[in-house]
Amino acid sequence: MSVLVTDTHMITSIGNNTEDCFSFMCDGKVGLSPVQSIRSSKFNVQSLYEIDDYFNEELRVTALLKQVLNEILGKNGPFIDKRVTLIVGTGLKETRGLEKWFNGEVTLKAQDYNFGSLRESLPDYINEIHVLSGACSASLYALGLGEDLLRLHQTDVVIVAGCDVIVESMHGYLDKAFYKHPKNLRPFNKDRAGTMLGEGAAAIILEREEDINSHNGEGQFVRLKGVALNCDAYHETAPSLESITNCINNALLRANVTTEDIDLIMAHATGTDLNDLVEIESIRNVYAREILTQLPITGIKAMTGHTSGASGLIGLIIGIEAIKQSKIPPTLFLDNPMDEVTGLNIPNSCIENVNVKRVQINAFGFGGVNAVAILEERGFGGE
Amino acid sequence: MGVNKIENSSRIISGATVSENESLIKEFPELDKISHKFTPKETLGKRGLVFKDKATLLALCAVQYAIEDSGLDFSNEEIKNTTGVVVSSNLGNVDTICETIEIINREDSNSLSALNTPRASSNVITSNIAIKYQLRGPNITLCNGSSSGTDAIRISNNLLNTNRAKRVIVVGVEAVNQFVQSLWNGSFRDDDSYCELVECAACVILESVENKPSLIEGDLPIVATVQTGILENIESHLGDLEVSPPVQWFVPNTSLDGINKIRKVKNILNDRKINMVFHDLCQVVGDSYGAQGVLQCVIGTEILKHNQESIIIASSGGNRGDYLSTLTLRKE
Repeated sequence: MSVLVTDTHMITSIGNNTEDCFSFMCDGKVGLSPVQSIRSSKFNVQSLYEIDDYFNEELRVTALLKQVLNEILGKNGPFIDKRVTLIVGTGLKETRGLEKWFNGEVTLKAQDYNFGSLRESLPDYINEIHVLSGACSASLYALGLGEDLLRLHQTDVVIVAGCDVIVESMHGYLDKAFYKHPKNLRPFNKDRAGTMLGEGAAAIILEREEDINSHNGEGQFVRLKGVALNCDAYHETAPSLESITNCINNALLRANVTTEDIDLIMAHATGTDLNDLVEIESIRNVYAREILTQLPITGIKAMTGHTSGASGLIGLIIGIEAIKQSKIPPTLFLDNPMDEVTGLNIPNSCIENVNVKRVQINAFGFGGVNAVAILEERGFGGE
Repeated sequence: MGVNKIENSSRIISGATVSENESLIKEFPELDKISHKFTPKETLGKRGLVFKDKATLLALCAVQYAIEDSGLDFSNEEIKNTTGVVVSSNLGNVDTICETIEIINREDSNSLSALNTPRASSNVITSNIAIKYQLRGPNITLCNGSSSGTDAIRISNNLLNTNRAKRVIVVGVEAVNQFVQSLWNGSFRDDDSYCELVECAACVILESVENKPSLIEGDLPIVATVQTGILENIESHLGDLEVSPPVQWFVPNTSLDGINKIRKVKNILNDRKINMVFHDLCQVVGDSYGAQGVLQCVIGTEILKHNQESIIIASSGGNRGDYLSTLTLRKE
């Protein structure tokens, strides 16, 4: 049984929709700016990857999520005679709202911490809503659970969403931990100074292929082949090489593909010492050296920042666009690549006119929560 | 609203609750053996407490008791590799966020301790459980509001049915502190259905029915079948049932709208001469919010162990914008 992604939408610091975000990424646009939504004077790092809007909203990430959902539901709903499930993956929920509530700046109800106010405003045809608080792999975890619901025939349409904004608490802890105070996020760079929060909201629609009308045409949709989910069970913040290797292998197995079938890896690539090192080593554990000389591996967080729980889904949507447009966005600021990427194909500028049929997307989160998804162009390959 | 009828099922191996509230055991004496007070130092050891928030400690205690009762050897590598963890908690790390902002208000980020970083993300509870027992299956933290506990069991069933795990440790937990209390009272004090938030943790361990029963001797295993939106569909779920003793239904703390729905279903069941006994945990111990669905499940399981022929229905959610989520438990 095949699962398709039938539509996508996203908002990040560099664009207000999927097409713009992808286009600007290929151009190497960077979403860094002096931060406005938090008290910058309280932090060493005062420029982040902030979305230039929604500043008047009391519950900013809820408003952002609402906007993205309204857009995708407006284009695709209502889903007549279908059961519809919404699954939101977030790293930080409405923490910014909670922070402002604590300081007496906004009204907050307990359920709003988990997007309660959003739930009440969603259309009635959404039968159930799940909110996963899953650190940096939350939205790919949500994707995996959504895929399961469809395969088990427990629902007919799944909207998978991811959202996170900059919050003082998490930025504060990262600010303390990354004592080199990064000026920008530099994946795989020898001089990488740590990760930096970014903002993003994304949503996709998943349906069973057998339910899609045949007149919708070839090439418009992309197939979700599988999502692997696991946990390091090792350390609260540091990643486990063995566990991440297992997750990648498991994803390929679930997707019924081999390493030779993959044309692009959308790396998690957070720009931290540990993640970038362990991620590259795990890729080397799974993929043969000969394959890795050709296989493009790219990390987009240099442009969007680390969008926390939304990052997995954003990576997935960029993977979908890469398939559709035969284009791969670059990994920026790779002027001094770490030794471990020697011999790998990490593009410094956009690659165009490239055949991309299958993509692997990585997302690894605090607490050792790992998710790896595999996409495939529709009309290519078997079940 | 559409109804999702779900046929999958899993087996409950063991359960435990951790709470200071004695009303629970008074109302459900069957809980006596598996209900514990919160004694983290004794249960987890002094080192087990370091840098952990209260919700995490409550959860770890509940898991420890449930694991001890399960008779399973969690030092076995195969079990570690194939066990997932699903936690339901809505307000789990509210205290951490507020305390962090307090420090930032007073000084700045340089005064924070980087060791508290994991607590800024509310999946800290779930990852702590996994780290302690090296559980490498899927690790999920749900915060679905009032229905979250029941949803956690539903999601866990799905993990078993898609072979992502062979067993799942499911926890519902809410911790009460000055920040949570203030947020809760500020939110719901004026509601007609206002109920105090009660601090507790509840844990069930589920395994796939495909597995040979893990229990060695003693209590018969229980099968949990999970449905959502059952309220309108309860008749068809009960089928040709003639049940005596009565079906026991754990009802959620509902708004007036929900109470009307329950009344309507009561009437339907009366017509069919099906006896129902209703339990409202909010009246017994208070509103356990994210823990409620799991707590209902633990209590329901113990009732079934003592009552040969009963059926348990447990619903949570159905108010404050949260949909109604329901599960049923029957003896295998």
